[in-house]
Amino acid sequence: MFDQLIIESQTSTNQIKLKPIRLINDKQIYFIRVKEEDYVNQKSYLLGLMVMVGNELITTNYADTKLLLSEIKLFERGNKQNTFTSLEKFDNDINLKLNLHKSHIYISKAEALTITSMFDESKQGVSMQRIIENEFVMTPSVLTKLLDNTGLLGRLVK
Amino acid sequence: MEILLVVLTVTFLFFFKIIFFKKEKKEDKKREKLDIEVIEKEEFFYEILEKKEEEKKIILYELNTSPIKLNLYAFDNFSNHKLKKLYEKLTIEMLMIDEPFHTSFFAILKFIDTNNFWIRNPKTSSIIINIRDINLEKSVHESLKVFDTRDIVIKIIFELLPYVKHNFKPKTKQILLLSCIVFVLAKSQNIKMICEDCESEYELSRCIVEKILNQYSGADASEIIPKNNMNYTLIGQLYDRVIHSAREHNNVIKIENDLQDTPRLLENLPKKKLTQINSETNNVLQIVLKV
Repeated sequence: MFDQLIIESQTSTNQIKLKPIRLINDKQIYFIRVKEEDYVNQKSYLLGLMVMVGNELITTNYADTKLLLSEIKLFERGNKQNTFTSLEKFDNDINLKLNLHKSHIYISKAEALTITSMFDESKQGVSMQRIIENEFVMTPSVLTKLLDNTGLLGRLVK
Repeated sequence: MEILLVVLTVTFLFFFKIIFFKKEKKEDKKREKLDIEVIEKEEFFYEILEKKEEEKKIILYELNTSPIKLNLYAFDNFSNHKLKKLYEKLTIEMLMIDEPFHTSFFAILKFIDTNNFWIRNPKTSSIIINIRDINLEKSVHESLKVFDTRDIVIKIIFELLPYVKHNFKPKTKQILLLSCIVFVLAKSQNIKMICEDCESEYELSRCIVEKILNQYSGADASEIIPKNNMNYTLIGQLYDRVIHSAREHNNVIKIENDLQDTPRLLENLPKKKLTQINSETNNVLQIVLKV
C-alpha cells in the first residue's frame, strides 16, 4: 500500500518538482507549477498548472485551470452553466462563489483581477508548448509523492 | 719409613674421601629435600588448578536433558519479520503458552499481519485532490500522512515487556498485552469496515474482542477492552510516547468508496506443531530452570 508510490519522469536525468506561487494570502489561493528541470542542458520546462485553495487541489489539469481562470475573468458576465463557480448577491454586492469539497469561499472583484493579472505575469519568459503538446499526466499516488517532496503535505494543524 | 709414609697417605686419602663423601651426601640430601619440596609445591599448585578447572567444568556442564519441544504455530505464517520476532520472544523466551492466551494472541497478530491497517496522524493536515482519470472521469481523493499499525503494535509491546516481566501476575500480564493490541487496532481507520455501525472507540474495541478474541468470555473478555482495564493510563502513556517517534508514510484514499484496503477476517487458523528449540535458546532455558 505504502510503497507503491513511484514517480515517472520522461528521462532519467530530469527531475519533476512542484513550485507554489502565492496569489491571495488571506484565502490561501495558490498556483502550483509542475516543473521539469533539465540539469544537463540547464533548462526548465512547464509541464502543468494547478490551482490550490487551502488544503484542496481544485484543478490538476491545464484545461481545467484555464476554464477556472476564464470563469474568474468573466466574473458577472459568466454563464449559469459554470462548472466551478456561481454568482451570489449580498447587499447589492456581487461575489463569485467557489465550491470546494465540503465548504466554499467567496472571491471579490479585486481578488479576481489580481488572480488574472498574476497568471499573465507568470507566463512571461516561459514556453507553454510542452503543456499543450504533452502534459504530465497525474495520478493520485504520484501527486502525493510530489506534494510530500515540496513540503505541502504534512503541514502541522493550527 | 717408606711403609709409614704409604700408610699415612692411604689413611689421609681414606679420611679425605669419607669427609668428601659425607659432604656430597649432605648436599644431595639437601637437593633431594628441595626437589621434594618443589615437587610438592608444584603438585599442590596443579591440584588447585585442577580443582578450579573442575569447579568451572561443573558450571559449564550442560544438563543431560532431551531437546525441549514446544507446541507452537509455525513461524512462517508471518510475512513481517518483526511480528515473527515478537511471537518468538513471547513463546520461546518468556514461555507464555497458556492456552486461551496463545491461540488468541496468534490470531490477532496474524490478523494485523495480513491486513494493511493504518492510523491517521492527528497533528498533520491532509490534502483533498480533485483529479481526472484517463477516461476523464472526475474523482476525489485524499492524501495524508499515516502510521503503520504493525510498527506501533510492535513498538508498544517491546516497550511494555520490561515492565511486565517482574511486576505482574501471569494472567494480568496476558490480558494487558491483548488489550494493548486492541487499543491500537481501535485507533486505526479501516477497521470500521469490519465493525459497521460502531462509532466510538469503546464499541469498536468490544467488536474486535467479540470477532477475533472469541476464546475469551465473561469477565476476562470485558477486561481486555482497554477502557475497562486496570492499567488504562499505562497503555495511553505508552501509545503517546510511541507515536512521537514512529515513522510516517504517505497514503492515498478514495473518499467516496474505497474498496482497495478492505480488511478480511481469518476463517481458519493453521494447526500447531511440535517444534524443537535452537541450542542458544536451550541454554537460556536451563538458566531459567536453575533459578
